[in-house]
Amino acid sequence: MKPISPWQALLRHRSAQVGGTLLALIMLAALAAPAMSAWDPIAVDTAHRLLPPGTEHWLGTDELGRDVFSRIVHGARWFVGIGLATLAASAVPGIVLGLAAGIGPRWLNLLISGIADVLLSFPYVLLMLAVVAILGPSLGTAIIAVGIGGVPGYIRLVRGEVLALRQAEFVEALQALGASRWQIARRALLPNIASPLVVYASFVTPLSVLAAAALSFLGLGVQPPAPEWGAMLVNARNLLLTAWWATAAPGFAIFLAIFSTNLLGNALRDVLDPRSRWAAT
Amino acid sequence: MIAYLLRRLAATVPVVLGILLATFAIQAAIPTDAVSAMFQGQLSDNEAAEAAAMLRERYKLDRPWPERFAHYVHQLAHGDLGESVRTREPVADEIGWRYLNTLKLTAAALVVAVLLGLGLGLLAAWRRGSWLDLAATSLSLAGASIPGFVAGLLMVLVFAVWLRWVPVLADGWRSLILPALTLGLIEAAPLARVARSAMIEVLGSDFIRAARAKGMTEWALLTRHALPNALLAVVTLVGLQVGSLLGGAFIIEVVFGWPGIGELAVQAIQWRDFTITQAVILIGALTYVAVNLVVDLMYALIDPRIELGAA
Amino acid sequence: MTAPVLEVRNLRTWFDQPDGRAVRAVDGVDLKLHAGEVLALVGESGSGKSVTALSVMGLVARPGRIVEGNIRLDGEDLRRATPARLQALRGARMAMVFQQPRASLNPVQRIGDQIAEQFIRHQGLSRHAASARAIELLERVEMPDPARRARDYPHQLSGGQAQRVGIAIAVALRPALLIADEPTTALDVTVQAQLLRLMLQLCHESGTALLLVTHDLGVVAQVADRVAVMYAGRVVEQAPVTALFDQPQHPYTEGLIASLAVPGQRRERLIDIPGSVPALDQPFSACRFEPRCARRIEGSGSPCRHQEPPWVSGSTGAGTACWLRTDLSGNP
Repeated sequence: MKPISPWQALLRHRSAQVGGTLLALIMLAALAAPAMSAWDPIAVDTAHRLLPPGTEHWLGTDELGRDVFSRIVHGARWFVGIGLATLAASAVPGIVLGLAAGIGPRWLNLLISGIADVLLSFPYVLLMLAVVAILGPSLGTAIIAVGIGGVPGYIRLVRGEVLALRQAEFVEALQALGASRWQIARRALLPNIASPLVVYASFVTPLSVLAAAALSFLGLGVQPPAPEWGAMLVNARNLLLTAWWATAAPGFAIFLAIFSTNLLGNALRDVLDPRSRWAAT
Repeated sequence: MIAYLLRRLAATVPVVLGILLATFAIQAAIPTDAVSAMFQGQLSDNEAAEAAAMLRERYKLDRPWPERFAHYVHQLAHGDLGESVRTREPVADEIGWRYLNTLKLTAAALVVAVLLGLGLGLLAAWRRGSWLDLAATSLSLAGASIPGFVAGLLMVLVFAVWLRWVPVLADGWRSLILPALTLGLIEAAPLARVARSAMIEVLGSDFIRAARAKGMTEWALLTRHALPNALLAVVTLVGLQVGSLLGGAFIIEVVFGWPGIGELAVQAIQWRDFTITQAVILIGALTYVAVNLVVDLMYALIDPRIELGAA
Repeated sequence: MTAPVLEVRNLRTWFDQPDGRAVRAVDGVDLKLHAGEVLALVGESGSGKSVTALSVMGLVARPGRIVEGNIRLDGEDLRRATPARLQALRGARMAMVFQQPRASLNPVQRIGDQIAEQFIRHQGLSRHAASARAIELLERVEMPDPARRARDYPHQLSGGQAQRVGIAIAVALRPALLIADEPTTALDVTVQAQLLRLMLQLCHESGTALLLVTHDLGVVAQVADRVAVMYAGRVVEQAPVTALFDQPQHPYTEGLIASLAVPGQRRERLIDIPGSVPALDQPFSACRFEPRCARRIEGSGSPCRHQEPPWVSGSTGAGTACWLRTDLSGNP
């Protein structure tokens, strides 16, 4: 029995294969959106509203005559973009604060942990609503709101891992050799928290995107006419009787995107757990 | 036991403080000068001027921040929630009956989630590896991937529009079915997963093997030995889920038009009705804290190790 | 000679692996136990002794399964018994005491109730009567302040006290067979002696046969009537206890006895048996102990390396499986 690299294990994992393929399709749509559909996603055409799926409009048109398929495909850009933005908004402050809490003086640890705990005691949705109430509805607000919601999780994760690693012998060795705190952080701590971070990010980022989509659905995030999948559902209830495809398409797209990231996340967790990396040869 | 209770209560103090600060901060969106300009287009000029005056009065917009905060806390302590910016009606009136509706929805959804999630999860663990297990796990994964608003719309589409089992605009208790079912189904997914893994872990433990060695029947084993121990992990999750249930309820209310505080909050934010927004978020957050406290208490009652301060 | 309480013949219990191969934890074990007897089943970790015990009780869980063999309790074929019948037998006719005392008790149930459960389940007693019997039992297992402790939860007990509860549960219904799987290994030495004496006493009082699984030869010397030594899934020697220690027949037994550190005896080095237990996922075509055997027959034609030695028994029922004790046609 010999260990195989995480990449190989990932490629063999069934969940990863399915999830990865789906996600790759979404990425492709995000990159090649204009090439995939001739229709302008925000061009209004009231003469052709509420058309069912057909040869001209593959997924029909919505209440303003816009081509649904085109909007879905362009929506993939928003999905990926929001995903990256919320990841940055949550992970960067989260990791920095978590590191600071882990390697800094005790009072700093207490302060940061205290704030994280209080933030975590808020139900997620209420926290976001509060932020939107303060800053006013917009895409930027949604990203900030979702980002703030995600920060405490990263803080807790990083802090926990760092505190555990600090006890490790090799860190003591580095300290004995005179390395500064930031050198230790860079060389010893960061590489070792990479795995749990990646797994955590893979689970939490889709949830953040979902939250942003929910805000857009409520009219509090991305504003129409942007073809973001959540925003496309703002009028959905009214459309159900007349043009259900305009609702089903973005709904299904969201489900597929989240489902594939969940699969991938499961696979990543299985793979990065050191015990499962040993495969029989 | 008393000591545990006191400690838990003490822990809620910073949280409540955080809630007060956060809801207070909503005021920050009010520009101190051109207040009435915010409402142009929504309210008539007269109404806008009145609203502006009311806001200045209530929030003491010309005073420094610390004084404003003290004033805010003082008002809350006296139960004064102010008037709606839009309707000028007392906020308490508007929220009262809606709050009850939200509680109804949340409670119904909780029942659905617990029955479905626990039932499915425990069954899957008991018959591990069977098709039942596989089905439950897949459903659980799928359920976790559907956001509330999508699931709600889907439910309306399937059950109201296509199948016509439920009228689209139901009334009375019938209108509770679809929203409660939707919310409950979504929250059941993580519950099923945790119940399953908790049960599997318990079923593999030493004392279950020892209980089998005692000659316990399978039924007695499951109900008296396995279940109580597996429930400990589940109760923790249910406690955590109340938070997401509450948040999910807000969204479900908008999807189904259920007249609760969630629907109110979203409208209020869009209309920049600060007093209502503040009040709703305050009440929502305090409810969450209160429920968590109750859950922790229940946990202490169930687990004898905590009762005696061992945990 | 009366009929044996427990008779095990050619027991094979294998554990299926994901790659298709099976770990043969128990690979052909024969045991016999009579009423009132104490048989010690000895071996190091991985010898298969615990799995043997669990197999007798029918408690082997997936991916393990009994592949072959005959298990008879008082003449009744356990492998043909229905699950309901096994449930009726367990706890009442055959009982088990486990290695980790506190982990073997239900954490959220009072210990008195856990003992009383036996009377309610198997004898149909009322809760009141069962609780009274439970307190009596706690007294019999020398638990101080039994009436009060019956209301305790497992985490409030020490390891020794928890094992007393385990013993109480096991002997409650005076079973014909008591299996103790390393019952004192996790406990202090002083408590060990107390509990072993207690178990012996209780078994003698009710004529219960005791199958004691252990790796500790010291315990064996104190307690056992007969000893069966296991290695890599098989019994390599069986003998009455004095005969075993005086004249071990199998090189492995010799090694085990030699490696006992005797207090008061100074030695130059601690003696151990070099090497480690072989992997159990392949069938054996030679003596399993051969790689570590100090007495193996050398030479290319050596049977030690080409054939599993057969079991050879002497007149007293003792026996061993070793090429040193038998010629190639199976004669001693």
